[in-house]
Order: sequence, then structure tokens, then C-alpha cells
Amino acid sequence: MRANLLGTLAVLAVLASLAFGLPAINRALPADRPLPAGQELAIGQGVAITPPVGARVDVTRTLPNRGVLALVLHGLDFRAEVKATTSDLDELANRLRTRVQNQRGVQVTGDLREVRTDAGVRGLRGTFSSTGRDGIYAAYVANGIGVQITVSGTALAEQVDAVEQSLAGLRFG
Amino acid sequence: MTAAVRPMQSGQRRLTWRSPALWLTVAVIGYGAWQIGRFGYPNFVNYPRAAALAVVLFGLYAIPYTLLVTGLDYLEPEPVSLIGTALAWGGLVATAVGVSGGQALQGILAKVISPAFSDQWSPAIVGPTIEEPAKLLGVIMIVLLAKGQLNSVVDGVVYGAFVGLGFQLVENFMYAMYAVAISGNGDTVSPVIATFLVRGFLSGLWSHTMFTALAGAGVGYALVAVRRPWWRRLGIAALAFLGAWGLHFIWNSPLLINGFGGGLGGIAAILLVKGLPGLLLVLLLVGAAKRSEARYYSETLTKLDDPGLATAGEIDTLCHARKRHAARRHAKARAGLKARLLVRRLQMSQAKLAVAISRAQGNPAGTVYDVAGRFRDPVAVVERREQEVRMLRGRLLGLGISDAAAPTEVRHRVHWNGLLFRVVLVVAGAILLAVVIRRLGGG
Repeated sequence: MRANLLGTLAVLAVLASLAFGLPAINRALPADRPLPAGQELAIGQGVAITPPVGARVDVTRTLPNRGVLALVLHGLDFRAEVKATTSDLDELANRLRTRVQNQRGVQVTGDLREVRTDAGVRGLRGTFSSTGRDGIYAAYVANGIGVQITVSGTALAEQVDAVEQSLAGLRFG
Repeated sequence: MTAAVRPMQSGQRRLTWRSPALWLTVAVIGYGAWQIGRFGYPNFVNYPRAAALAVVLFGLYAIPYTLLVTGLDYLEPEPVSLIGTALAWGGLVATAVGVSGGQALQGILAKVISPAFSDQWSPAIVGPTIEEPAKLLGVIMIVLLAKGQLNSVVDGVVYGAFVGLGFQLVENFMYAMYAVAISGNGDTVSPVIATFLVRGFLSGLWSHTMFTALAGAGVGYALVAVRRPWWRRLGIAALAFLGAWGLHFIWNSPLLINGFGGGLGGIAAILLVKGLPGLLLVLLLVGAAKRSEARYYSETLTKLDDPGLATAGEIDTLCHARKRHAARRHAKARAGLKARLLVRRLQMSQAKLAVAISRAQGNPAGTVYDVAGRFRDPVAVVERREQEVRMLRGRLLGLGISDAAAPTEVRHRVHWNGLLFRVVLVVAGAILLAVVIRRLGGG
């Protein structure tokens, strides 16, 4: 019985270290890295963005090889994803809308409206909300490259101009 | 790697609720069920059709695997309850640990090294480092629950394979539902079918079932090779685990990802180069372990020197699946379906007799998974098995069959037709899959 108890405790220790120990270490390490103001960041496929001032890169959710950039901005989550696509803008925007709508507790509000980047690339932008959080989502397509962006958090109202300005500065290579 | 069978103890100690291992198993399987349920439930709400199809497809997928793995262990089958425990550990505990530990390690790599490194190498590093130990613990828990039940390298392979299969099924379900969610097309089934074809077939053969079978073989060896020095037993077990880790690493690594050009041909070449060597290695090891186990049980029956219990031809037949089937077909040709069924029962009884004899001679180490107390009197069990064999022998004699061995020519013939048929079937299946995947937009 003693050997069984020791073996069981050893198994429990390994399991606990994998399931709880590693997440504790991960939480103890800071996930975001500061960015110099005005620095342009490559998302992928030649697409780049200039994040709002004060934004920090979330290194745990940024996937450079898969064209995903994750930022945090004063309590906002900012996620941009770039992919080669054969879809047109309406299809891409509707897919993003469905994906946002399918998140638990999220309600898409209002219709999509047309937006353009400073370089004239056409996009569609919508809004959504969930308990205590508001968000915007936007899609752009140019030269077979699609960009999908979601921004959400509790402080969207204060940051919305900075976010809009950043989206307008989206640059396709 | 191969070792003799370590006979199971017969009835001195039984698994009871006083066993700490049993409590831990129940607790962590409950925890895993809760964690996986938290993921699975929203999918059944948001995508009921896709989720139901994923359950059905991967449920059906488990059937041939189960038959294949249980077929490895014909001579000494494992209790269904322990097989279920292994499946539940793989599907609930290892996956739950894999999700939380995997995300954490991926985050640590991104923070300590860089997001680019983590993005490129996390699947190769995180998968094996978190999932392989989590699955191996399932085999170790089986040892703690019923050490006496894991008494050959083949048993280690079987428990390891079932832990891996449980993991593979639940992981594939999660991937299928993730594919549905990111497709953004609502409750559609095509992402489920594409995931089923890609993860189930193209990469299913050399996936978790194979990795954990290899690691389980190491545990089996460490338990069985009691005459070897402890460092050698532990060393072989560690090597088997490292082998599983390495195969998983190679499979998940970005190496060769663009090495064979694009298109289905390139993808198929990568799959073969990365997966086939590992599969062949594991098949060779399993084959050697099976032969070793068969030799042990055939010697046990041979020592009886009683043709009424097993003739030399029947003992040889019993040790090979192909010959067992040939013997049944031969009996049917000679005396009809009843003879075929009787030969099948005789073979099973002879296998049980060999196991009962080995248990009656077993050493007193280990805990027996014997809730029903069936093995309390090993001598009585042997006597009962002998009576059973003699009764079946008598009924076969009544049908004019005195020896239930496979025909001699079958025993020595290489089945080229069967081999060719299987190769053609695999090639045709691969072409069909490629066409279906291309139609679904996966290629």
C-alpha cells in the first residue's frame, strides 16, 4: 500500500506540475512588450500597421508565421489576422461577423459600414458588444490578401479614435 | 526490447477502494471530464449538426483501431474496465492537461525566446513535452491499479495504444470543432469531414496511438524483465519514452514542410517521410513482443504434453492470427459452420488455459485487478479451463475433427494475394482521400 501511495503521489505531482505549475510560471512572466510610438509592425503577407500610441505587443498571442498580430492597448484587445484569400470583401466581412457572433455572450450590433484606408483600400466595419465590453470588427481585401481585425474591451469609447486612425493607416505591400 | 511474460499473481491482493491509485484515477478522470465538457458543450449548442457528425465519425473511426489493438492481445486479453480506464485517461485527463499545460508552455516559449520561434516550433516542442508524459502517466496508473495485469511488453503496448487512442479521438473532435468555428460558416459539416480525412486517415496511422504504444512498451519491459538489472529496465523504458517524444517531435516539426513542393503529391511525400519510419519501427517492436509472448504461452501448453488439451499443430496455430482464421475456415469446410464456431471457442479456451496455468505458477508480486474474485483459487481455474477444453474437444470429435490446427500448407504459405489486395486497397483509398480532400478545398 505504501508503494502504491508513493507512486500515486508521484503521478499526482507530475500531473499538477503540467496542469497547474506551467500555467503559474506562464502567468508570472509578463506577456506584453512595449512598442516605440509610431513604429510600423508587419502583420504578414506584406501587410503592416502602425499601432496606436501606448499599444504593447502580446507575444503569447502574436503568431508571425501565421499572420496574426495581437496588441493590448489600455485594456483593449486588438487582434489583426492576414491571410491569402479568394473571397471578396463582403464574404470575408460576413465570415468575420459570423465568427464574432458565435462567441459566447457576444451580440453583433448594427450593420456593416464601408470604410477606407488612407491608401484607398476598401473595407467593411461593424460593432459588437458583450457584458461590460464593446468591440469593433473590420475586414479589408486587396490583391488577394484579406485582413480581419477585431478590437474589444471596456475602454473602447476612449480609444476609438486612436484605433480608427491605426486602421486607416493599414498598409498593403 | 522483448522479454518473457511475467505471470500475474493469483489472488493474494485485490484492488480495493483503499488503493490511493484508484481514488486518484477517479478524481482526475472526473476533473478531465469537467474540463473537456466545458469545451465540448458550447460546440453542441452552437454547432449541433457538426458536433454530432464529429462524434459519429470519430466514434466509428475508433472501431477498427480497437479491433486492431485488441487483436494484438488475443492470447491474454485485458479487462474491459482497464481498457476503458486507459481510454478515459487519454481522452479526458491527458487532453485536459495537454490543453492547459500546452498553452502555458507555448506562452513561456513566446515570452522567453520570441513569438516567431514559438509560432514556428511550439507544435514540435510543446506537443511531445506536455502530451507524451500526460499520456504515459495513464499507463503508469494502470500499473498502480493492477500491476499484475500488465505482464508482458504486449500488454504495455495495448494499454499505451488505448491511452493514445482516447487522446487522439478527443483531440480530433476538438480540431474538427475548431475548424467549424474558424470557417465562420455556422453549423456546417464540411470542416468536420475535412478534419476527419486529414487527421483521421492521412495522419492517423502514425499519431498518438502509435506514440503511446511505444512508450507503453517501455513500461511493459521495465515490469516484465525482472531478471535484468534495474538500470537496464529503466533505461529501456526511458528510451521508449524518448522514442515516442522524438517521433511526435518529428511529426509536428516544421522540417521538410516545403521540401517536396506543393500539391497533394508533396503533402503525401512529407506524410510518408515523417510518419512511415516511426510506424515501421513500432510495428517491428510490437511484432517482436508478440512473438515473445506467443512463445511463452506456446511453451506453457507444450509442457502439458497432452494432445487432448492442445496438439502441437493447434499450439502453433494459436499463436498466429492468420493461422487461427485458417483453422476456422478449414473446420467449416470439413464439417460446417458449427465446427467453425467450435474451433473458435476451442482456441479461446486454449488461450485462457495457457494464461490460467501461467497465473497458477505466477510470482506473488503485484495487485490483481480482480473485482469479481475470479482468480482466488488458481488451481481451480486451471481445472475449469481444462474441463472446458476437453468438453469442446469432445464436441469437435463428434463432428469428425480430432485436430483443430490450420492446414499445413496454410501454416507455411505466404499470402501474396492477400498482401497484394491490401496494397491495392491502401493505394486506392489514398487516391480516393486525395480526391475528396481536394473537392473539400483542403489540397
